[in-house]
Amino acid sequence: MKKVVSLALAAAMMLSMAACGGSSTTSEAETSSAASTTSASSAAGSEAASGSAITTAEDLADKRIGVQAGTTGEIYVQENFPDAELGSYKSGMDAALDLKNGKLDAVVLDELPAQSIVAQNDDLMILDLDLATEEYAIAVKKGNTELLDSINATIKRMQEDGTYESLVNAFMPAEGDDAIVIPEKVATEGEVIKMGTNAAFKPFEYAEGTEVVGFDISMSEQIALDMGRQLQVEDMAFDSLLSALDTGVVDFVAAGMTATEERRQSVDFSDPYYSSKQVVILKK
Amino acid sequence: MPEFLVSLSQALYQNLVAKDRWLLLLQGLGNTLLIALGAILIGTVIGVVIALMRVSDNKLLQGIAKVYVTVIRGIPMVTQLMIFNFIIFAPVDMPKLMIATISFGVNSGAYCAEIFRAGIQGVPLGQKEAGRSLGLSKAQTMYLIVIPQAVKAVLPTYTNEFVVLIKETAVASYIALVDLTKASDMIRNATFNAWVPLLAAAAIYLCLTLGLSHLFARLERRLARSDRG
Repeated sequence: MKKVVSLALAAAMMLSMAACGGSSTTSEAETSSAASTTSASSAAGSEAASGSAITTAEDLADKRIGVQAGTTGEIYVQENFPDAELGSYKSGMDAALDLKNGKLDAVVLDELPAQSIVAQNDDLMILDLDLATEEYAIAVKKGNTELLDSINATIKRMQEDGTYESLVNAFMPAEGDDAIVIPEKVATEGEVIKMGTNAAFKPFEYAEGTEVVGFDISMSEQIALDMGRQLQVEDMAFDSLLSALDTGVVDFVAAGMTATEERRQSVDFSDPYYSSKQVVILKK
Repeated sequence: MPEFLVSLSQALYQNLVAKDRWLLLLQGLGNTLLIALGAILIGTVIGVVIALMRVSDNKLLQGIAKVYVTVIRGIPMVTQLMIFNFIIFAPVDMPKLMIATISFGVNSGAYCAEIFRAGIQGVPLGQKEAGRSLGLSKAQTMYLIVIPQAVKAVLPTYTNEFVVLIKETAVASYIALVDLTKASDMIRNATFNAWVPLLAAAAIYLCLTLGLSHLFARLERRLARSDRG
């Protein structure tokens, strides 16, 4: 019996080594082809040419692309560029860092967080290719209509009484990120309601000092206020949010999350509250 | 069939079979094994060197070894991994797998060094004196008398280090590597089911570590045959 088990174990090890060996050879081939394109372009004599090789969406097809794990950007790249070498990072900023270090050719990310990143990094730029437009919405556990109705009512109320507009003005000023004025925290009390988010998505949610702030947080404060509940923000990995919702770790998810058809099969989404799109970050 | 069995088999199918998701797990497992095996090799080499430096008479070598162990052991593995990827190897175009392997190897080296040092120092002083008085040189005493006994003594803790290392590789996804944990994350992400992918990954890790402990236990028994009662 023991022999059988150890044989099976050895077989599994061999198989997975083979599987992974296969994938690493392709990645090597890709890296070397990427390297050859770089050398070819530098041979052409222009120093800045290495990044500007990407001008259309088709150019991304065989490149090394970084995304944030679990985002629509990741799904978009997986579906549209199956030959690209995909790197899924914990945050868009980590992906941008590897882009700066020359380990990626491009990063695909939501427009506003991408702008925040580019604003902080002079050597990066945004290329808007109209990749995918999408709408952010708040997610609740499937069938929780009571909470969903309440959230929708608050979104509607905020749009009517001007709270929504003032939040947009506060977090997305035309002058750029430096002009953000964080609205004062709204005190909420009552039974705790837990909001799940991923604080690496400026200006929707990000860390400022020890506090998690952002558009989604302020909006959720309004939701909690209307419900007479006390808001508790749970910061976790983006790709853990929906399973946290499913297992009841959080009550709702507000994280600049796009209401996709695939996600709709397992959770319910509120009315959309913001339209965004995917953009490409490149090295200058 | 009872209803929960139907939904269970559906969940299993969705999370493991559909869209060849098991292949993703297998690929992740491959990366986990490659990192762990590579790292334990690097770690053992570094460990032996550092341990010998630590027990040498040279104050400078002792100091270097001490600093290495203190620094590496004092920094969390995830932080080290990110330092290696985003700072140290930032300008070098190197496969992520290699960066991770080196990073885990350097980390493991510090722990191995301490394990080996404990083993060497645990050999009774009388053994060394006996070796010397038989006319062996210092180096000969080390290689012929002390180290063979130390190897036997450190085997259980060394196994433990290997087991710990396999589990530690679970943080590899911080630098966008698809290891076993990341693979289960990706499935969780596509199916929004927490149970099956996480428990599947947990079961695979457990099998790995159990198999490994079993292997080393056999080696230990084999080595113990020469022990006197």
